[in-house]
Amino acid sequence: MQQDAQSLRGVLPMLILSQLHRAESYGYELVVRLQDIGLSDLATGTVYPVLSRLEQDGSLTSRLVASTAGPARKYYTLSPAGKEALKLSTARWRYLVAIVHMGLGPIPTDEPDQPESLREEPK
Amino acid sequence: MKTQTTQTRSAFGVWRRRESYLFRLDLWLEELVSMRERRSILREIRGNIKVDAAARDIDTTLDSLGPPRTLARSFAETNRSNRPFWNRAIYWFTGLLLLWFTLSFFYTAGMLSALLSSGAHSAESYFLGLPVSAFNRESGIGIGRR
Repeated sequence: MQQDAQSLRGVLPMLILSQLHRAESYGYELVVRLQDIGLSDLATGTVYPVLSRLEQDGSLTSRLVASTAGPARKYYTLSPAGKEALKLSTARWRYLVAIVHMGLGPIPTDEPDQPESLREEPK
Repeated sequence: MKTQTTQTRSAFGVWRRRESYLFRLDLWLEELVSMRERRSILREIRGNIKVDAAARDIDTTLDSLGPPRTLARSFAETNRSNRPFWNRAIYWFTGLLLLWFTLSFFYTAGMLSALLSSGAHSAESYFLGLPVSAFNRESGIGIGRR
């Protein structure tokens, strides 16, 4: 199923923080990791600006690591502030999911809705 | 088909594609973020492109980044400041100056032409509110402000 771009934009910083909490990563590797968990349509152009913002916010720290296979890679890792941000956003997300889950009815079907007056009353 | 094209792309071709993309990104970033941020973003994106293009081809890499304008805006969303757009002001000023020079050139040329054809010695007029005088004498022809 294709992801909704707006929804993804909202949760992407949290997912990035979560992935980097598990293991430090450089930009492209992080995109691949996120694609592997199911965000197959995720583009690098969506992730890099978020990484930049998180680093500016102080949620991430980075270091350059020389690579034998190409140019030096910028590895990102979570800062203490980032860990706090991850805790907070995860708690908020779980709270929101619980509310949405409670508020959501069954998935609508293609059958036309029957007016209440025509519904058969139980005897 | 695309794979065949990118497989045969030379090192120069890869460099040209990358630098062309970065140049356009730089142009869009120029009016959205400060110079320091711009340099930092460009350095980071250049590094990312190199790493990404080493893992897959340059075309896929740049496609994944999206249009330079969109990427610049994504970066600017979080770095937006209310700084004045000096470059844009300079472009406008230069454009208006060139327009003024062009108009005044044709206006004065027209005045001198009219003087020469009519045989009059002098003429007075207004150009954009400024009084202008043109003369045609034995010593020569000319135009100036009264």
